[in-house]
Amino acid sequence: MNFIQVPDATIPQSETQPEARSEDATGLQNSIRNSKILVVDDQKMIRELLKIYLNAGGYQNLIFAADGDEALDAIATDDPDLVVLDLQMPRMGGLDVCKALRADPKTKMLPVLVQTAADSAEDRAEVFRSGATDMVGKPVNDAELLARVGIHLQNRHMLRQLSHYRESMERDLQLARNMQHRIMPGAAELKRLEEKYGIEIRSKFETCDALGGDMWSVWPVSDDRIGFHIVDFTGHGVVASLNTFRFQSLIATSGYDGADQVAYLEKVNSRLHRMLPAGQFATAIGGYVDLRENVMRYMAAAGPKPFLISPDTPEGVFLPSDGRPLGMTRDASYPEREVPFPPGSSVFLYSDALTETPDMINPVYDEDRMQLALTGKIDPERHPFDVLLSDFLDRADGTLNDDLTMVMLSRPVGDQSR
Amino acid sequence: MANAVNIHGDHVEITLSGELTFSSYKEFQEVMKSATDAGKKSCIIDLSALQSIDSAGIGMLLFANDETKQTNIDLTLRGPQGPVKTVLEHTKINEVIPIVA
Repeated sequence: MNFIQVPDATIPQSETQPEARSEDATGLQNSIRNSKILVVDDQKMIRELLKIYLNAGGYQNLIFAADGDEALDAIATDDPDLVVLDLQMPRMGGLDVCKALRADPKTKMLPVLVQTAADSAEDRAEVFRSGATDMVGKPVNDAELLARVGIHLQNRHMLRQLSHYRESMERDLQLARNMQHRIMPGAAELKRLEEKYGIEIRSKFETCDALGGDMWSVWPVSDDRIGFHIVDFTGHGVVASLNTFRFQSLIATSGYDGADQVAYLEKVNSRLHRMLPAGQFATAIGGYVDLRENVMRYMAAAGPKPFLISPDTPEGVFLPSDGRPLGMTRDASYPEREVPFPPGSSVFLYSDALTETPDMINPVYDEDRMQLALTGKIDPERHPFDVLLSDFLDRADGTLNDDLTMVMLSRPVGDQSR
Repeated sequence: MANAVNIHGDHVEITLSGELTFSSYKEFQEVMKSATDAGKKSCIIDLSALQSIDSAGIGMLLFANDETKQTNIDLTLRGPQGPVKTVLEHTKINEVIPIVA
């Protein structure tokens, strides 16, 4: 479900930690001072001069090379943070060193400061075209050298911090993603339920960001009843996914005894209302299939209309699903709706990504198309669930703008065992 | 989203048009603020020119309802059409915020 993140007014926005920040800044300054700088020049005197300048600027971690070949060797073995490079040198010149560094993914981003006496704009452009990060005039002025070295080292370290941050975020998100997938029924559990109830369960769960606001489940209510729900929280991404975990722990602790599902859902609604900030809610469909009474009884909280195919309605019907979204208000009633569900019936439940991607005015997919796919009009040879999924993904160009969940429960035609 | 705020004798009227979705959030907040700042007893949001709304938009209306309640302003929605009407009916918003034709 597409939604905004309404800022939670209870979190003070201005609460920053100045101590922590200045510590970070000192850390950055230290990293910069400890940076390893490679000085490349064929004249010993110039190397000495640059050493004096850099030492005076606080840089002690220096290595040296006398020509292009030596420079490339030193870069390969010592992995410097920045290179100060002369242009005219025997063996390999500075421009060729630049080109070689840029061609190698490992050194593509290494800052290279070229010392040049080049006066003409064309010469300077040539230096940049070769891949130099920046230039410093020759003869080298100490203040200019230190200023440029400082800027490029700072950039390098900030980029490195950012990429470390990003890597650790990605690791975290991957872990969270695995956790989210684990609150849905696993393959073994589904197989067990399929065997116990003689019912086929097909499902698809995919998030448009690393984490999502959808969830679904099936579970045993009694020997004859298999329960199901599909829930879609406002928004997607981290905030929405946190709500799915809240919901999961809420239903795990609310203890549905299988008796009165209406009273149960109303209790879940008011608890959810207390948990969620204003403007956040979930649409949902939940209920059970009773295999002995051959009915499905469900309650709707504004989830997309379930699609039912049965021997009486082979062309399928969209079932009503209007209702107040969960968590929107403290008190809400969810009347139970009942439809026949004899052997040979299927019900298809889905999140609104299916009918709302990418915008509501011109949806990529609509109910008419869904009906064609699920009743074998598009491809009678394949399972309707697979037909619908591939047909939808084709039309959405493979990109999801919202979280997608699809669940289909089907009773085989010959199941008269109960 | 395009909008207009008009102040009448005892009430403020907000006219929304286009789409009320995630990207309208900031603008909608500003509109609501100018409406509540007007210090009138009631506020009408006219939806007759609004073409679409998603769950973000629904969330914003609920948020507006919360805010106006806190400042004792009566909020009413007016004249939803087409897909907007369908979505509001599906989510039974009329049970939370009064809707007039």
